[in-house]
Amino acid sequence: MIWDGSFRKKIIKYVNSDTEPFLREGEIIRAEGLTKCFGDFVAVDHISFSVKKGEIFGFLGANGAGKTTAMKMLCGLSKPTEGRAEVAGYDLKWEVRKIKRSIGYMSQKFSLYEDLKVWENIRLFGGIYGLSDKEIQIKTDSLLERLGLEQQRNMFVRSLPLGWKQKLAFSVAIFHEPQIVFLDEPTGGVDPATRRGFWEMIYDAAEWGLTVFVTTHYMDEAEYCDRVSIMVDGRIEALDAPSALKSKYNAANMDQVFHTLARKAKRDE
Amino acid sequence: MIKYLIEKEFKQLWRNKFIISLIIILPCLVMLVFPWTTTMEIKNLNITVVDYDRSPVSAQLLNKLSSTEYFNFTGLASNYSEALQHIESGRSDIVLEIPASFETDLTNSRSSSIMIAANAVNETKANLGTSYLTAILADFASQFGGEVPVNISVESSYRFNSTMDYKIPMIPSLIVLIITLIVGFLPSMNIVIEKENGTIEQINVTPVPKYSFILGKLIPYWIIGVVVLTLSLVVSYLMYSLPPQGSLILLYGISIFYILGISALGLIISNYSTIMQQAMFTIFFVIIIFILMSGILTPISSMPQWAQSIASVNPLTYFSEIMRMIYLKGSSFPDLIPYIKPLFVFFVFIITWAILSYKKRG
Amino acid sequence: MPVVMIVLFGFALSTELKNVKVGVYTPTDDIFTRKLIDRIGESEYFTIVFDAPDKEALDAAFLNNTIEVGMIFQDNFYSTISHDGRASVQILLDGTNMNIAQMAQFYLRNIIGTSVQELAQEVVMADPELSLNLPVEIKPTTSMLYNPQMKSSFNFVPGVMGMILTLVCSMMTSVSIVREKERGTMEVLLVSPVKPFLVILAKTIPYFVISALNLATTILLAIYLLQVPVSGSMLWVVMISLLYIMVSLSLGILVSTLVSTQQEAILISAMVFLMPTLLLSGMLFPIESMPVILQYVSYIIPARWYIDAMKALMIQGVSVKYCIDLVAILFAFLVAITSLSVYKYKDRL
Repeated sequence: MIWDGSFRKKIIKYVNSDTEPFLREGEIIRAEGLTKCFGDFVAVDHISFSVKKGEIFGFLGANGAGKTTAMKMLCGLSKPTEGRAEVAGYDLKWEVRKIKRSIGYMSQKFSLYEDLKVWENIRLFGGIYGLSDKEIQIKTDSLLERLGLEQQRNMFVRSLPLGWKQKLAFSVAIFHEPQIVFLDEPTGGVDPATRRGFWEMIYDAAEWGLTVFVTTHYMDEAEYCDRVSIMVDGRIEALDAPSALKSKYNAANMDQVFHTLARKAKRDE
Repeated sequence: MIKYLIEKEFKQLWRNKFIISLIIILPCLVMLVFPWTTTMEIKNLNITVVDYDRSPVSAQLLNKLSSTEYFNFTGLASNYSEALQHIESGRSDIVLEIPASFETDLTNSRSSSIMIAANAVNETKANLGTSYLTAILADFASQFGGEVPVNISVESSYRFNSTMDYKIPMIPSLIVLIITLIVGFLPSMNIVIEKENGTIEQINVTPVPKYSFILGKLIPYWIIGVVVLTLSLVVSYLMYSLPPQGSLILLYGISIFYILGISALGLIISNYSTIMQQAMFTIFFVIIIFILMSGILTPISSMPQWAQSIASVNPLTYFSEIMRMIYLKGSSFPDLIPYIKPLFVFFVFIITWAILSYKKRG
Repeated sequence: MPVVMIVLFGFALSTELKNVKVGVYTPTDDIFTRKLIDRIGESEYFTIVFDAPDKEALDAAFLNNTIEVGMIFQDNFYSTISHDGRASVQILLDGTNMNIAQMAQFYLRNIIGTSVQELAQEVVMADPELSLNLPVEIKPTTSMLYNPQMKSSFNFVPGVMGMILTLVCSMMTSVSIVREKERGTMEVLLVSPVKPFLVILAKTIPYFVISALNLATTILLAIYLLQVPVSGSMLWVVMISLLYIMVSLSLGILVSTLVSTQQEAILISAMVFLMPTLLLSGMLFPIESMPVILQYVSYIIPARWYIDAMKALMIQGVSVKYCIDLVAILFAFLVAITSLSVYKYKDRL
C-alpha cells in the first residue's frame, strides 16, 4: 500500500522527468510495444496503438488472436511482460489503482453475481467504487427505469435472460461514470436484434463522452466502431476506420477485410 | 467500501440454505452424538474360556468373570484351537485357558499358572483387557485367605472430572473439531467459486485494495465461527450440564484469533486453486493432518519424534489444548501463555500470507 | 495424498502410552521412595518432570499442563511401610483426558505392585515364618496374538485404508458429476440415447481405476514400509477392497443425485462423511464401548464393515469364510445405494 503514496509519484516524475508527456493531445489510451508472454508462448507481441477520447475503438481478431489478453493488460488484470502504456493519464506499471478507478469493465463471461438480486449487484459495485448509499439509491432508480427493468429490481440475476444480463452488466460497468469502458465480446450468444439494442446503449454512452474499447468477432459490429484494429497472431495487422480499411483492401465489407488478413494466421486456436 | 463487500458475502451466504442448515445442524448433531463414541474404556470384552479343570474352583472363577461389567462371557470352548476359532471369527477377543491342575495346584502349592491369549490387532484393547483380567484373577486369589506381609494401598482420584465421565473430556475437543471443519472448508471454496463463475474479474478491475477484499471475505466466516462456537457451548451445557470452568471471555477471545487464522488458511488455499476440486482436496488433506496430528484423538507424547515436530507446528494442537484447559480445568491466562504464543504467531503469519497470496493481476 | 496419509498415520498414530508427565510430592525423602520414583521414571510410559515442594504445587502444575499425573506419598512413607507393612500413595489423574488417565493408572499400579512384591520377598527372606501365610497366587502367562510387538499401526492401517477409500472415492465421483451438472454438460450426455445409468457408470470407471491404483500403493506401503503383514489371502484382501471401492463410488453417485452444486457435494462428502468415518467406524475407538444406539448407528457405516474385514484378513490372517458375512453386508450396501441412486435419477428425468 506504500506504493500508492507519494513515493510512487516521485518515482514516476523522476522516470518521466525529461520526456514528453506519454499521452498525446486528445488521446486517452496509448500503448507502445505492449507484450504478454505465458512461458514461451507470446500471446500479445509488441503492439502499439492509441485510442482517442470519446471514440468507439474496436479490437477484432479470431479466437486466440490475443484480444482478450491485450484488454486484460489495459484493465490491470494482467501484468505486461514488456512495453509501456498509459490509460486515462495513468501509467500501467505504477498507477493501476488509479486506472481502475477511471475505467469500467465487462468481461466475456457474464460476471455479475447470479445469486444476488438486480439492485444488490448495482449496490455492491456502486459501493465498491465509493458511491454513497444515497447516490446509489438515486442512480439505481434512474438506471432501472432507463433499462426498463423496474419490475425485475428484486429478481435474482440468475433468472434474467442473457440479453438483459448483458445490458445490466454494461450498466453496472459504467455506473460509476468511468472515462473508459472495456467490453470483452459483450454480445456473445444473443440474437441480432438484442445485439443491435446493446449497441444502441453503447452509442448513447459514447454520446456523453465515454470512450469505448470493445473486442468482438462479429464483423458486422466492427462497422459500428469509429476505428478498428485487427489482431492476427498477437500482432496488430491493420488499424483504421472501417471505411478506410475496406477501401485499402478493396473489400465490400469488414468480413472480407478480416478474411484477407486472417489468412496469414499460423496459430491454431 | 468494505461494508458493501461484507454485505454481499452475507447475502450470498444467507441465501444458501444448505450452508445455513449445515452451520446449525452439524454442530448440534456432533455435540449430541460424538461425545458418546470417544471412549477407550473397554467394556463388554468378549471372552472365551477353555476349562480343562472343570472343578468347583474353576467354576467359581467363571462365575466371577461373568459377573463383571468388563467381560462378556461368550462361552466355553472344549480346547484351545476351538477357542482360537472364536477369535478368528470375531466372536471373541480374549481367551482364558484354565489348566487341568488348577484346583490341585492352588490347594497343594498355593500357586497355579493360567494362560491368557488376546487378539492384539488393537493393541490398546488387548493391553487393557489382559490387565483387567489379571486384576480379576488377583482378586479371585485373595479369597483363599492368607496375608501379604507388605502392601501399599493406592488410591486414585480424577482431577477436573471426579465422576470419571468419558464424555466430558471430548467436549472441548469436539468443539475445536467442528469449528475447524466449518471455518476451514467454507472459505476454501469461496474464492474458487468466484474464479469459476468469473465474478472475481469484475471485482479485480475495481480499485478495491487486497486487504479489504480479504477482510471482507474473512469477517463473515469469523462470525460463522463464533455462531458455531456459541451453539456448541449451548448444546453441551444443555445436554451434559457442562459449563466452561474458566473465563468465557478468554475462551471467546482466543477462539476469535483461531477462527480468523483457520479461515484465512482456507482463503489461501482458495487463492492458489483454479478449480474447486483442487481446493477441496487441498483443504481436506490439510485438515485431516491437522486433526490427526493434534493430539485430540491420540496422545502426542505417544508419537515418534518427527511426528511430534509436526504436531508442534500445528495450530490445532495449541487451540485444542487451550480449549481443554479453559473449559475443563479453568486455567487462567498466565497458565495459557505458552499455548497462546504459538497460536498468535500462526495467526499473524497466516493473515499476512492470505493478503499477499491474493493476486489481482496475473 | 494417500501415500502421505498412510505413512503419516501408520507411523505417527498410536494410542499406547509414552512419556506421560508425572509430578511427585514426597514429604519424607528416603531411599525406598527414591527407588520407586526412579523405577516409574525409567519405564517408557512415564517421565518424572516435577518434584513438588507441596501438594498445592501439584494442583498448579495440573492447571498449566506441566503434569498429567500427580503422586502424593504418605508422610514417613518408608518407615511406615517397614514398621507396619502398610503405607499409602495417592494418585492424581488428569480427568480431562480419560483415556490417558485410565491407562496411566493401570501402569502405575503395576509398577507399584512389582516394587511391593520385591519388598515382600525381602521381608519373607528375613522372616521365613511369614511365608506360611502368603496368599495364593495365580500367575498368568499372556500371549498377544497376531501382534506380539504390540504395534499400533496394525490397528490403524486397516482403519486408514477404509477412511482414505471412502472419502477419496465418494468425494471424487460426487464432485465430478455435480461439476458437469453445474456446467450443463451433463444435460448433453443425458439427452443422448444412452441410458442415464450407463452414462453415470461410464463416468465412474476412471475413478474406479484411480482408486484401484490408490489401493495398490496403500497396500504396498503398508506391507513394505509399515511392515504390516498380510497374513491372509492377498487375493481376498484385494477383492474385498475393490468391492468396498465400488460401495464408496456408489455413495458418491448418490450424493451427486441429491445435490445441485459442487460446494454442497464437497461439504457432504468431505465434512458430513468425515466425522462418522473417523469416530464411528471403530478405527480409533472401540465400537463395543459405545452406547447401544450408537452401535446400531455404526451398522450403517460401510467403513466399519470394511475395516473389520481388513483386520481379520490382513492382520489375523483368518480364512475368508469367517468374513463371508462382512462381504455380504458390503455387497448389500452396494446394491442398496446403487438402486437408490438409480431410482433418484429416474425420478428427475
